[in-house]
Amino acid sequence: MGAIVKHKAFEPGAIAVIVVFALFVAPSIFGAFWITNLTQMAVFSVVAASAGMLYGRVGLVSLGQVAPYGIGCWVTMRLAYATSLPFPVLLLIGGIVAAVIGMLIGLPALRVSGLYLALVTLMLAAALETVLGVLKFPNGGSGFSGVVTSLSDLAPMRRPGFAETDPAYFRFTVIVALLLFLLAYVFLAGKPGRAWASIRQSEPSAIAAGIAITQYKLIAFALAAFMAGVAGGLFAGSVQQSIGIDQFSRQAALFLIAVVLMGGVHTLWGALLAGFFSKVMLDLLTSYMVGGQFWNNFSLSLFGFGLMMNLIQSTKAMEKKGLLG
Amino acid sequence: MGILLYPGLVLNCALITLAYGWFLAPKLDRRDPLAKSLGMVAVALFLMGIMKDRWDTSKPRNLHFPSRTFTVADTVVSTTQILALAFALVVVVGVNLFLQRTSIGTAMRAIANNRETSALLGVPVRRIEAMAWFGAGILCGCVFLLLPSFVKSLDQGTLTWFVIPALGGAIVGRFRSLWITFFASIVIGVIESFLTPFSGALQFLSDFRRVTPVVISVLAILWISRRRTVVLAGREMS
Amino acid sequence: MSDALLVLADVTVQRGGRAVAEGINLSAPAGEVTTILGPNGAGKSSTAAAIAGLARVSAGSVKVAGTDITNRRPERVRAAGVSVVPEGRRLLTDLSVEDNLKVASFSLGKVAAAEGLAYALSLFPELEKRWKVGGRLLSGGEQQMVVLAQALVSKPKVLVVDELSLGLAPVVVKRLVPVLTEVASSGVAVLLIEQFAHIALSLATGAYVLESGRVRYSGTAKELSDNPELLHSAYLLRD
Repeated sequence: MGAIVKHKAFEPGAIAVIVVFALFVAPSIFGAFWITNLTQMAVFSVVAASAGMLYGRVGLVSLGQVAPYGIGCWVTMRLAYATSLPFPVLLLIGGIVAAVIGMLIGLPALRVSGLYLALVTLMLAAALETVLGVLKFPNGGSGFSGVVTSLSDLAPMRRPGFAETDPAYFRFTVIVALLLFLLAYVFLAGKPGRAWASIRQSEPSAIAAGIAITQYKLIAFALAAFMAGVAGGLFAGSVQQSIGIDQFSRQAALFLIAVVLMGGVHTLWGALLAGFFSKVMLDLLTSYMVGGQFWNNFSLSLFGFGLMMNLIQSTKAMEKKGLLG
Repeated sequence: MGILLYPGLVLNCALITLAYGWFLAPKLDRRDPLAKSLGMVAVALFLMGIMKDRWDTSKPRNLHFPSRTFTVADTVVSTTQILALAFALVVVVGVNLFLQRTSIGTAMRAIANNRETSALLGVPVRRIEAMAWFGAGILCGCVFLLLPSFVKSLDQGTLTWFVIPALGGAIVGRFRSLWITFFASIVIGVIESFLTPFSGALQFLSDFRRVTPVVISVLAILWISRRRTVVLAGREMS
Repeated sequence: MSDALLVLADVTVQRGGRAVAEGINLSAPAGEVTTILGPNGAGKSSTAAAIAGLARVSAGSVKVAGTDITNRRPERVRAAGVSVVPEGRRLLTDLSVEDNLKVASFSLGKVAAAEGLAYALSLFPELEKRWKVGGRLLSGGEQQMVVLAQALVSKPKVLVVDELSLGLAPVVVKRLVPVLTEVASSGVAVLLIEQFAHIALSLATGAYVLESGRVRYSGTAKELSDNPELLHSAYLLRD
């Protein structure tokens, strides 16, 4: 599906404007509440980009992209409490662990494609929810899981020394997110990108063209998991304590694919839009419009509706292009 | 209320799936199975949002099917449990007979095999698909009359996500064999129950028992795909 | 040709934003075999798909016995008395021969279905021996018979066959050809689409040659047989 090829995934000029705005303007005009939201938007757009890349560029649907996100979050948190490693190193380790686990999980998943892959990845997201539910997120304790039960021992997770405050951490997040997007761009523009395009068009012809499809699919899974894993670490640093598993739940998995498809899987803008949908839009609605709790509860309905509209629209577009029958 | 409650609940469930099958599913009918399943994800999210609003989790609800318990060989068995098992068997046998013996069932198999060819042969594809949706809704409705009896507290999340173990069974059955699906689901359920009482050093077995369907279906996929190198995207269901 | 059962008027079919068949005018009279010839990619199958309701007609009309069936859904086209056999012997491979034929008679009444089955089996008695065999396990010739039988079960007014002979052994083709003649002589308008002209021209009365999505020749099969250069030019001279 989706033979629509867009080359302009990155538009340097517009991106420069956004980055300058995010780094120099936003921190001074927004209050703490919105800065936190914008930080999480940046984080979430990385996760959305990773899922969108798998779907739009490689043709793999993973409904379980919350899994590496959650793993990265957990690992980064645990190491932040347990070690004194610099924060960027923690992020890197979180990403690598997520990538390795993502690849291990990907091995059986890569034997299948299409619907089975989507179902298996959704089930794996469910499995992760169970595991994280049992392990709980570290909150400053010792041992493997690092969980303390007495409230007095709770310690917030540390942030990098140069980004202790919310605005500084926001800048840090934007820079890391930008680096991750660049990393994805390097892969997409290079040999893996061409191999993925060929796999997405047709697996049999990719094989016939001598492309090691399993290898390149694994690279895609690993890259996507790495991005999501680092994003998980960034998320941990943003929230700092008492993270609930609902961020990484089955419901969040479905929510993610909905916003990713609504945003669009082919460009960076889609990822940003997905981040906006999930982390900013609802708060805007709640804050500036009547409704309050209404929007919170119905957000799922809203995104379900959006996903359906998106599917119907893309079907129409495909029909127009003559891609269907 | 009263006597009309149970059939009313079942019908309600079936009307929702029928509405999807009639109004929305045809809009995606030419897409691959994956896009179709994303359509279901959309509906699931939509309904979950409504339930989240309507369903105050602070007030636990329950729905107990009238039941009696008795003891067989030191094991307490309830009539609802027996009914559930019998219902599953009846469904497997009944649906198989329906698919094999009736003309509508044959038409359903034809559509599952190749939708376009079936339409060419004069099968009213949309009507038959809507019937399949309706039937699936009826079955789901019946299941959710029985299921709450085995769940401590009802909330929309718990109930919605029963789809995961169900998917486990369906994946093992490769969406083709009802019998394999039936036995796989029983095995998954039995393993989960056996893991439940573990404690102490083996507490983790009990904690992680909910991962069983995932493990089983991953093993099944490894087994199913052990010789296959290429799978044509979207063709597995054909 | 006012007695033509199937009439295509200025039919244009687009795929992938490109017209694959453009301004097709053709008619198939009852009781005759009409053939569409043309090289690979000429738009023959798109024309068949347009008649069947599988491809959208973006301009023009398709009429059967005066009734407009343009862009009707496939099952409605069939209900209007048009059976289309697409290329590639697309039977239901997971279903047995019996079920394949039962599905094809799904929309008919009980009596009509029984009659249709009997009629199809009288044309292809070989299928009775393979009644319970799955479609996947049949030989190519048997599959083609099932597909033709499926088309004929509903006793259509118009039978469109896309590539009868492609990929089949000559002996099998020889077995199938008389069936088409028989069906046509019973009053059905048969439209036979073929890449290879030889057999089609021996059967057909009217003939069309398609090339690059347009009708390059329309006339009689006899004229085409007598003037092979007409055909050769269509197959060789691509613009």
